[in-house]
Formats: sequence, structure tokens, C-alpha cells
Amino acid sequence: MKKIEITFGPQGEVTLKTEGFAGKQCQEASRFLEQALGSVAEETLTGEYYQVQTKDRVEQKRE
Amino acid sequence: MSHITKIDIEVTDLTALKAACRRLGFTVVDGQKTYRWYGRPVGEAPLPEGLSIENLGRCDHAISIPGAEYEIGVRAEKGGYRLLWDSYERGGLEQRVGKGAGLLKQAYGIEKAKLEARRKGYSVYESRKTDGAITLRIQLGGGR
Repeated sequence: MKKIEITFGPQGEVTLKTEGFAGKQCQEASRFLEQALGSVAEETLTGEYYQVQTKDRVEQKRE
Repeated sequence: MSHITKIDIEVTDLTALKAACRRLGFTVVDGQKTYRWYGRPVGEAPLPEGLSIENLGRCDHAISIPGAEYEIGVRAEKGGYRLLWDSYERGGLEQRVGKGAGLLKQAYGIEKAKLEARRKGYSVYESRKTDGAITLRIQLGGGR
């Protein structure tokens, strides 16, 4: 299931997280929200992002 | 999670700002060209970046807040809107919009994200946390 979760704090702080995407798809899927809300102050790629990237590379080698 | 982003809110959508104000019980007065404030700068507080003293108190729309003597000015600028307001305690604004207008920014962000997600046909679920934070869960590929 592909999901985007955004938490809005009472002091105006905003954190966006993505879940269930393969590699760069998560950034593409959430870009419209990031652009609509303001400017990106910080971005962190997590383990899931890199795991899928690694899997993609393995599959490409097999072809 | 595949990536985490921290975002600085910028107000660019008057429709979403009006929805945010409705959510908080505030009213946007379209076309009101002045907003109530103390009327002159006090102490050593710096002027908002890029503005002169003459700009203070002038706006393109205003936000009226029940129980607050002062108002928030909405100033149209290139690419969006700037919120101008006086945090002096007697004006009653900071108690209602939070420090740095945090509660108004929070409400704006929620309404703007809902608008954009629904425009794409995504389902949006809202939940409130005990610390005052509000979370939107946006499910891609589902109905409204």
C-alpha cells in the first residue's frame, strides 16, 4: 500500500513521510505536496529507499 | 518509510487560508486594506524583512479573530502571501494563533494538503495526536 503521512505540529512544523514506494518513486509521488506546502528544509532517505535501489540494481545485472 | 522530509510552510493559496481560518473560527475579510495593530514599532524588534514602517498596518486582506483586538494582515507578494501581525500581548493574537502563528500555519498546511491530495483523487484521513499535532494519511490510488 502506497501512503504519504504528513504531521503538522502546533508550532507550524511539518514532517512528511512516505511508505510502500520503490526507490525514487517516493520522491516523485510526494513532490506535489512538498511544492504545494512550501519549501523543503531537510530530506532524509531511509533504509527502505536504499534496499529497493539495491534490489533494482541486482535485477538489472541479471538481465 | 522510504524518505522523510521536513517542510517550511509558505502561504500561497488564499482558498486554503480561508479554509484554515474557518477551521479555527477566524474570518478572512476580502479586500480589507488595513489591519489593526499597536500602530507604531516599539523597542528594538526588527521590521519584517523587505518592509518599511509605512508598510505596517497595510494589507490586501485581513483576518479577524474573535476575542482579539488586533487583526492579521494578509499581504500579497510575489509567489504568495505574507502574514503580518503584532504579537503584543494586549492585542490578543498570540494566544489564539500560537507563537509564530504556529496554529494558523498548522491549519493552513492541513487544508492545503487536503485540497491538493483530493484534487488528485487520493483518500485523506485526519487524526489528532495528544500533543496537539495533526496527522494526515494520504492513500494513493484509492477513492475519496
